[in-house]
Amino acid sequence: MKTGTLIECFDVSKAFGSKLALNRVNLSVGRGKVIGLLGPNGSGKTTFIKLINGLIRPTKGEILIDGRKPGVYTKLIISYLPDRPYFADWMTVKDVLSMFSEFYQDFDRNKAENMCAAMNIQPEDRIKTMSKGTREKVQLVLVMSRKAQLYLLDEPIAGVDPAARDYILTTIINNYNEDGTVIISTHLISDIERILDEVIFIKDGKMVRHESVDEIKEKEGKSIDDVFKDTFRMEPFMGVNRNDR
Amino acid sequence: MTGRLIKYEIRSSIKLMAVIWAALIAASLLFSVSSNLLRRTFEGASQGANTLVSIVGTITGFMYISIFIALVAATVIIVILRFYKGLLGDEGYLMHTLPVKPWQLITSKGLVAAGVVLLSIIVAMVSLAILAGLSSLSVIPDIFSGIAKAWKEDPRYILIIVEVLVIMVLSLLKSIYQVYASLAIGQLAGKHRILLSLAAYIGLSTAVTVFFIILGMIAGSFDMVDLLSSWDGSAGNMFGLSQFVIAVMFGLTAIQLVAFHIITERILSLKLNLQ
Repeated sequence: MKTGTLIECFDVSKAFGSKLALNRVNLSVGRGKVIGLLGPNGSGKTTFIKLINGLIRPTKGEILIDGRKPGVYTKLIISYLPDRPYFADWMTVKDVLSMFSEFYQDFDRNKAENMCAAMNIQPEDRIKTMSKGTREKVQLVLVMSRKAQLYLLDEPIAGVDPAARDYILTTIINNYNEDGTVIISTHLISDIERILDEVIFIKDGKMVRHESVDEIKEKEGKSIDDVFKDTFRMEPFMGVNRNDR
Repeated sequence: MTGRLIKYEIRSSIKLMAVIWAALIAASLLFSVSSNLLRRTFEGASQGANTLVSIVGTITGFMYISIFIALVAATVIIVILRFYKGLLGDEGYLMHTLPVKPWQLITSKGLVAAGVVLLSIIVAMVSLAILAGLSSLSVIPDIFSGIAKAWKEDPRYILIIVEVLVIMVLSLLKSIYQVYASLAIGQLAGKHRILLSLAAYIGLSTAVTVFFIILGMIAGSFDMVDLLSSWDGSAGNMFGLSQFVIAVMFGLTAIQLVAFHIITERILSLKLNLQ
């Protein structure tokens, strides 16, 4: 079992044109944890995940995963679930399973096949003809059938019904490599609170909080969902005051 | 890993193209049968039968031309879409997180695209040969006897043929890489990516033209044209001249190919902008 820090971010910023999506992020993440990356829409969660898995490069600063800059090695140890379907139209379930077996040494094909069979998904089924929910489940099966050191799950429970949310979270918890770390980005806190060890709050591109769930609960005596609401509370627009007219 | 990428790229490109290739061969067979065999069979038959043969000939001819146009369009579209959707669209989220380097992704796409174009050209030629009928098959032994004759006369002719074929394939790959570089530049835009890709393609073509003009001016200043025109016409010297011209063409094509590859690779490595 590996020890030590898994992710290190040193003063990481990412700008898209004039817009600063991440602003001077400093972060250190250990191993064997389930971490919630929590923030409202547009706060920079997806940008952070894309930086970690090397899809984009930081404008400033440095990121190290298992002591290495994002590249071929880090892609071998990261299992990534994006917030969209990424299969080619022509592929069948068998094709994607073969692809993962060939490219990732840590992929457990038997496990993936059994998980598909449990959902009544046949190897010959074409991805193109599947419903959106089934396609997402196949993607989740692929990602969780790897014995990765880092799982990056971008909004895995967004846009699915409560029953599917339960299925997804149970699949994550029962299948991740316990020596590895899982980072789940979401704004649906109440659903995932029960499975989290740590939380990272991200607001307008800044990491505003990184603490263990137990510490937060002990300090504030509230659920993570309530702390999140307090942190990201927005003043609702109440209409124009008559006196201001 | 590049081999594995190529394997998946072939499977994704071949599914659509195989249907069109088979359809073109079938259409050319039908057209050939209707325009040759049927016409001969019904020669001297009633006017009604002849009209029917003409209608069948027109329909199969129209089918053949339509599928031929579809083949050209599908080949171009496959070259563009397999790169655009595969590396710059949603599929890019899978491809760019595979444990491979960007140059391997580009190379696998480029090689398979070149293969698809070459196969489309071969299928188009076969379909034309089918239309020309059995008499066209006599060309094949003619070609081989021509090659044998050239080999007997001077084996260096064969070398020239091989070199020209290599340059043609390299030139095809260069053209595909120019499209890739344009698409990579185009994806830098948040909106109007296709429009920027088109502008980039025109820009790159202009840059290549300017590069050639400058090169021509440099060659002119070194009296290269005089040097070439002073080459005497003896067989040995003509071979030397052909090797010089081929080497220059090879070098210029290779420079463009490498430049377009570097542009694409750098952009995908440093400025990937998946939507």
